[in-house]
Amino acid sequence: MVNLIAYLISSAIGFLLIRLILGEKIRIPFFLHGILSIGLGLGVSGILTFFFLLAYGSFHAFGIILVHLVLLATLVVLNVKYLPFTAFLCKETITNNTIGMYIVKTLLWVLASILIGILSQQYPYGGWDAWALYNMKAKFLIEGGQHWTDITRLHWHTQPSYPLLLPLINTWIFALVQKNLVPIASMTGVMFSVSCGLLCYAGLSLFINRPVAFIASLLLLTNPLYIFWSTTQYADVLLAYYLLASMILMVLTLRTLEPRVALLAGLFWGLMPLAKNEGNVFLFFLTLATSITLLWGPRDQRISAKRMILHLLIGILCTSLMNIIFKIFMAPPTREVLFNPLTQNLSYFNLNGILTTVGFYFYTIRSPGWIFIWGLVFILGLINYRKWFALKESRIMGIVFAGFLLVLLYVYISTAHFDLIWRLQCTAIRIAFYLLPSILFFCFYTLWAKNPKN
Amino acid sequence: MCCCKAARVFLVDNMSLRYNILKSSIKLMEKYIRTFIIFIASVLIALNLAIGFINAKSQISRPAPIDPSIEFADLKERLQGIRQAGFLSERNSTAEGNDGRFLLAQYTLAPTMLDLNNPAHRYNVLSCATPQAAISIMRLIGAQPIYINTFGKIIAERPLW
Repeated sequence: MVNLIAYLISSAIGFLLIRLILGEKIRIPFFLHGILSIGLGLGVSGILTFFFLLAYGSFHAFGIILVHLVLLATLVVLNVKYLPFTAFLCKETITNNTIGMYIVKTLLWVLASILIGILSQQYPYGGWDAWALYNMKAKFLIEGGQHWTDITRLHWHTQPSYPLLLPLINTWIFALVQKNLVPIASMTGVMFSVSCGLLCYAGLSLFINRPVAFIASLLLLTNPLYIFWSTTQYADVLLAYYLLASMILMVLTLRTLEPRVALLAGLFWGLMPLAKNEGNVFLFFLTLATSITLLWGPRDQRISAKRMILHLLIGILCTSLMNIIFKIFMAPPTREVLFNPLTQNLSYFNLNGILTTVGFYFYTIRSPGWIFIWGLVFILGLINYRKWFALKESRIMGIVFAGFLLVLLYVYISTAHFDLIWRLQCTAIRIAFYLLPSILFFCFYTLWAKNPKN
Repeated sequence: MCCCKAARVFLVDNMSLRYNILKSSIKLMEKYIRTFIIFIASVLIALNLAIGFINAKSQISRPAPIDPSIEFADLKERLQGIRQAGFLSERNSTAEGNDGRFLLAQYTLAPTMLDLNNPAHRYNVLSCATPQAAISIMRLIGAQPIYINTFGKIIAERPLW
C-alpha cells in the first residue's frame, strides 16, 4: 500500500506539472492527462532523486521524501494561485452508449492488468539483465553511502554507461517503502506496462475512432511477449512508454501549434535518453524531423515555428540535464557503439553482416510469441504506404523509425567487442518490444486519422 | 466539328464517371479492408487472452522461484564496509560465455565493487567449480581462505605489502 503512495505522489507531481504547463486555454482529455502524469511524475522523481544524491552525497530516505513533498506543495500552490479548479476538465457529452463503452473498456483493461500482475511473477527477481544491471545499480544507490558513484567504476560487464532512470525511480520508491527492493522493481515494471497500453488508447483516441483505439490498446496490452518483456524489470518498458508518449505529443504539437504543448513534448522527449542509450537516437531524429517540418511551413508561420522549436528545446534541456551531467562527468564511454570504425578490424562490416542482422530481425518478429502482431503491423503498413507521406506527422514518425533502424544496423555491423549472433540474440527481441507500441500507434494513426487539412 | 466536340464531351464525361466509380470503389474497398483489420485484431485479442489465462493459471500453481543471489548471499555480511574486492574464477568470463557468476556475485554483494580477474585486492571472492581449482588459485596469489559457504564460494584474504 505504501508502495502505491509513492507512485501516487509521483503521479500527482506529474499531473500538476502538466496542468501548469498547459495552462487554462489548452485542454487535453482527462484520461490522457492522467496517463501522461504517471510517466512524467516518475521521470521527475528519478531526476529529483539523482540531484538529491548529487547534492547530499548519499542516500537519505527522509531527505528524498522531503524534496518530493516540497515540490508537490509548490506545485499545488502554483496551480491554486494561477489556474481555476476546472482548468483541466475537458467537456464531454455522456450518453447511455458511452457509459456502456466505458464499462466494457474498464472491465477489459482491469482484466488485462490483472493478467499482467499475475504474469509479472514469472520472474519476481526480474530477468537476467534486470537484476544484474538495473536492480544491482539501485542497490548501489541505496546502500552505497558516499560511494554511490562507484556504479560508474564497475566492470564493463555490468554496463556502467547505461542511464540510471529505472534504478533512480526504484530508489525513490524504496525511500518511502523502506523494504525489499525486489517487489518495488516488479511493481515499477507493471506500472509502466499497463500505462503504456493505456497511453496507446489515450493517444489514438484523440485522432481516431475510440473503439478502434481501444482495440489497438488491448491488442498491445494482452500480447504475451509484450507482457513478458514489459514485466522483466528491464528499462526497455520505460523507453517503450516514453517513445510512445513522445510520438503522441509530437502529433499534438504539430496539430495545435501551441508552444505550451511543445514544451510538454520536449519534457517527454528529454526523458527518452534517461531510460536507455537508444533514447538519444530517437531524440535526435525526432527533434531534427520535427524542426525541419515546422520550418518548412508557410513563410508567415516561420516566427511561430521558431518559437515552437525553442519551447521544444527548453523542454528537452529541462529533463535531459541530468543525463548530460551523468554522461559527461560520471559515466565511462559505452563499449556498445563504435564511433570510429577505422580504429578496429571489423569482421561484420560487410554485406554478410547486414544480411545476418536483417535476417535475424525477420526471424525475431516471426516468433510465435508475438501472436502475429507484427504480421498485422505489416498488413497495416502495406495498406497505408501512400498515407505515410500524406500526413506530415506520419512523415516524421517514418523518418524517426527509418533513422533509428539505420543507426541500429550500423551499430550491429560495426560490432567489435562481441559476437554478432550473440548480440542479436540478446537485443533484437527487446528492441522489437520497445518499438512495438509506437509502431502500432503509427500504423493505426496513419490508417484511421483524417488529414487535418481536409 | 460539332460531332467531334460532342465526342470529346462524351469521352470526358465517361472518364470522369469512370474515375468517380473507381474512387468510390476504392473507398468501399478501404472500408472493407478496415473492417477486415478490426476483425483480425479482435481475433488476435481473443487468442492473446486465451493464452494469457493459460499462462496465468500455470503461473499461480508454480512454486516460487529461488532468489538468484542465494549462492553468494552469506558472503555479503563478511564483506560489509569493503569498497572493492577481487573476483576470481578458473572459468572463462567473457560476456558471450560465462560471466553469469560474476554478475550474480556483483548483484548480491553490491555495494562492494568486484574487480573481475584482478587478484591485487586484499579480499578476493572465489567462485570455482572444484575445491582443487580454488586451492590452486589461492596458492598462486598467496591468499588464505577466511570464509567458505555451503555453495563452495570462498572469501580469501591476501596480505598487502
